[in-house]
Amino acid sequence: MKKRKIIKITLISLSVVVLLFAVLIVHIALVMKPKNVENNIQLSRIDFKQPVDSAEAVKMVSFVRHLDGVDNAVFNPKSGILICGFYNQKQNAQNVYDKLMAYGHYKAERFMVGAADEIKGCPAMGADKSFIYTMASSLADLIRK
Amino acid sequence: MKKQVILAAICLTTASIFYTSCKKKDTTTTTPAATTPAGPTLYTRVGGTAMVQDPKAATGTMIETGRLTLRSVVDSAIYVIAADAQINSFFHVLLAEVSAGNTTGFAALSENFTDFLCTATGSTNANYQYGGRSMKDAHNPMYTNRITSLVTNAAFTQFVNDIGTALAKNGVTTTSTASSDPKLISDLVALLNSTQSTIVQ
Repeated sequence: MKKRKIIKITLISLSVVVLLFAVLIVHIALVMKPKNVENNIQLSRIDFKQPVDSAEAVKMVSFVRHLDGVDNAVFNPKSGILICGFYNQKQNAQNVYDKLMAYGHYKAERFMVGAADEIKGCPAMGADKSFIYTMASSLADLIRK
Repeated sequence: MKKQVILAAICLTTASIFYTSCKKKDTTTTTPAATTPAGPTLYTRVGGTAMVQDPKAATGTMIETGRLTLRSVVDSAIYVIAADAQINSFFHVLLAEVSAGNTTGFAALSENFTDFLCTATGSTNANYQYGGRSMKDAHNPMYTNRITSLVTNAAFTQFVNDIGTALAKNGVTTTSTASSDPKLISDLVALLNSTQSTIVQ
C-alpha cells in the first residue's frame, strides 16, 4: 500500500516535471532573440616584424579582403598588426596567413592566443553564466537549428 | 491533504527552477541615459526603428536601421581595437578559435556591445535590450574572471578614440554630419564618456 503511494507520487512528480519542461521549451521559443548573424566570424591576427608603408598596407589589406570567406581586414601601421575576420566554415587563420605570405613575402608571424590569455577578455562577451542559464541557452540554440 | 501539500511543494519548487533558468545570473544592469532633455533619442538619430534588409543575413531578414548602424560601428571598432597594441590585451580572447557551430568571441562581443548601445541610446525593442552585467561589475576583477586588471583612464580614452575611428570608417564624421545632425558625434562620445567614472575604478 505504501509502495503504491510512493510510485503514484513519483509518477505524478515526473509528469509535472515533464509538463513544466515543455512549458520552458515553448517559453524559450517565444521569447528568444533571433540568432546572431555573425556567429561564425572568427578573428585572427598577424604581427608584422618589418615596417609597412601606406601603399603596401592598402595592397595587403585589399588582397586579404578578397580571399574567400573573409569578412573584413584592418591594418594598424603604428602597431604593425593586421586583423582579419573570416567565416570559420569557409576559411581558416593558417590559410589566410600562408596566402598572404606567399603574396608579399613579408616578415610576419601569426599571433597565437595562449591558454592564460584565452580566459581574459571583455566581460561583455558574457561569461560566468549559471548552469541553469547555460542549459536554457543550449535549448535555445537547439530550437534555432 | 498531505498528498496535496506535497504536490503543491513539488510544483512550486520545479516552477521556480524553470523560471530562474530564463533569468541571466547578474547584478543590477544600469545603462546611461539615452535622451537629450527634449528631442529624439540618440537611437532615432542613428536610424531609429525603420526596418531594412540585414546585409549580413538571408534575404527577408530585417533589422532596425538604428541597430544596423550601431552594429556596423561596433564591428568596425572591434577590428580597430584588436589591432590597437595599447588596449588589445583586454581582448585577446577575441582571437581564440572556436570549433564550427560555436559562437565566436567576435560574435559574442558584437552582439553584447550592440545590445548595450541600443539600450543606452534609447531603443525600446525587447530583442535588443542589454541584459549583461553592469558596467561596474563587468570591469571589476572581483566580480568577473574575464578581466584581470582594472581599466585605466588612458585605456578608456584610447577605447573611445578607437570608437571614433570606427565611426569614421562608417562614414560618420563631423564633416558628414555637419548639416544633418552636427551634434551627433559629440552626443555619442558624451554617452560613452558618461560610463568612464563607472568603468575606471
